Amino acid sequence: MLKLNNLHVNYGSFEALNGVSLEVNKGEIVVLLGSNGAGKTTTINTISGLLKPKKGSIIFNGQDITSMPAYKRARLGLVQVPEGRKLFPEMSVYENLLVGSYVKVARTKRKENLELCFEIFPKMYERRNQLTGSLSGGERQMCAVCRALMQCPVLLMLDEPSLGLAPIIVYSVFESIQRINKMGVTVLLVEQNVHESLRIADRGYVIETGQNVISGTASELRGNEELQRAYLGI
Amino acid sequence: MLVLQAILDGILLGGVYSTLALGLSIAYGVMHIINWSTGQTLVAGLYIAYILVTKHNMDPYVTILFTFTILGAFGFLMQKTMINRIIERSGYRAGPNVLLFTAGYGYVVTSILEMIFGTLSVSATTRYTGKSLAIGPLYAPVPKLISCIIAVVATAIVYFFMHKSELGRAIRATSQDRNTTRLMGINSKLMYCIGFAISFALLGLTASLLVPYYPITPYIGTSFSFKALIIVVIGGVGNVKGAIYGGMFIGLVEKILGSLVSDSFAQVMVFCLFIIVLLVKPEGLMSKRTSKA
Repeated sequence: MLKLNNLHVNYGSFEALNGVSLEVNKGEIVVLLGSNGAGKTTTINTISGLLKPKKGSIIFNGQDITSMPAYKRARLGLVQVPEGRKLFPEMSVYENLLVGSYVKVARTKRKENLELCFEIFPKMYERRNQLTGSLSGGERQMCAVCRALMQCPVLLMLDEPSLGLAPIIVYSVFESIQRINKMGVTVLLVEQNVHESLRIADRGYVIETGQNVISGTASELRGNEELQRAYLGI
Repeated sequence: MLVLQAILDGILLGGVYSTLALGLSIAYGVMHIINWSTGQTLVAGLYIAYILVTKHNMDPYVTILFTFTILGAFGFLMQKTMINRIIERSGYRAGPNVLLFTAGYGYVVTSILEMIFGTLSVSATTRYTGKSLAIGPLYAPVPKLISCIIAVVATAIVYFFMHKSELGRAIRATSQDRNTTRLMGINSKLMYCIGFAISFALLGLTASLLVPYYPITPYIGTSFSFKALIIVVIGGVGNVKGAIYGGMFIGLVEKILGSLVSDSFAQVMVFCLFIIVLLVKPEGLMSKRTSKA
């Protein structure tokens, strides 16, 4: 479904990505692991089209989207929940969800998607008229996931959904990601929380200083000593 | 009685100020850029309306159709062909660069108007000129009354457009977080163009509202730019309600102080108020928010 071939991305003269390749197949949950500054967010933003690669290509559903503008990629169902949620702070939860379903395809499914969101996250129904600036961290993450669901995602990319959340809330966010995946949405998860993300993922990639270092199935990665040393502190 | 008349005059003026301020405020709120050609664009609109009224015998309020559309289309093209480009290429210097660009463009407009129309003041005589409506002991000049009503209605329409329509919501979302709206499939560059088009169209509308009673020279633009900026700062940036409250407030301050003391004193106070608001409550007097998220 998604294929990155040897992506190189620069910020000025700084090489943020130095040849990242990965593949996500239909129906999978794939996790992209790495420490701070490894290039995870750069990778996801390049897939979304917010950054332009210097070299390499991005193939989505057989189509080369390397030079397609970001808003057109979103319309193909390539949806991102950005790091730090990035909700519209001066809008209510409900308005955020309406903006999520702005494009035509999503607008026709607005009603059923709203019901789906409120079913998965009943809290969001309670908070629907509240400004998102006044939500707790967990609620903001839920709202960001809902807004992405409103977009009718084919491939849902989440950038560090566990960031800044209490363990119990991380658990429930990951449960809902798993549930969304079971509904047929392919997931690319970018995380530092190795333990929780390998629990729900099918496969994973580890990047370091903008390069692939390890890849494999979730169980292979769980057993990988190098990864354990680096991230699990064992 | 003098004060009551001043209050009425202030409200009538304030209505037109609010559409003027909206013209600046929407561009400022959406793109975070200050259009320093706000006043000059208004003056261009005034001359368009003036020609339609004097040469084509058009009712000044019918000219709204033309000023609104012509300036709106011009704003759209200007954003599309020039300002988007400047924003794209300037990175973090986009704000100041666009400000300088619009300032320069404003001078070009003034010079062109001077070339075409000369330096003398002109005013359009319409069938509303000189007519007044007596409201008890007070007098409301008919053109000012009609203009104020149209301005208030237009402001209400803009408010509903921005808050209740799909497009308006997308424009507001773009103003809050441009990159994230792109992730929602929204073409943020197009939103900028539409935002700027609405800004310019509202300046066109304001021009048609002023033409029945305002004498025109190519040079009155700068004072309107300042006035718009003051209203926006007082009412709160990018805030439709703020524009109408701020517009009314400034209209009232000008007319009341003008009638009690003098017009020049009123102008001094308006500028002082502007400075005080920037120092004490920079998010605007009418804004509930105390800090920016």
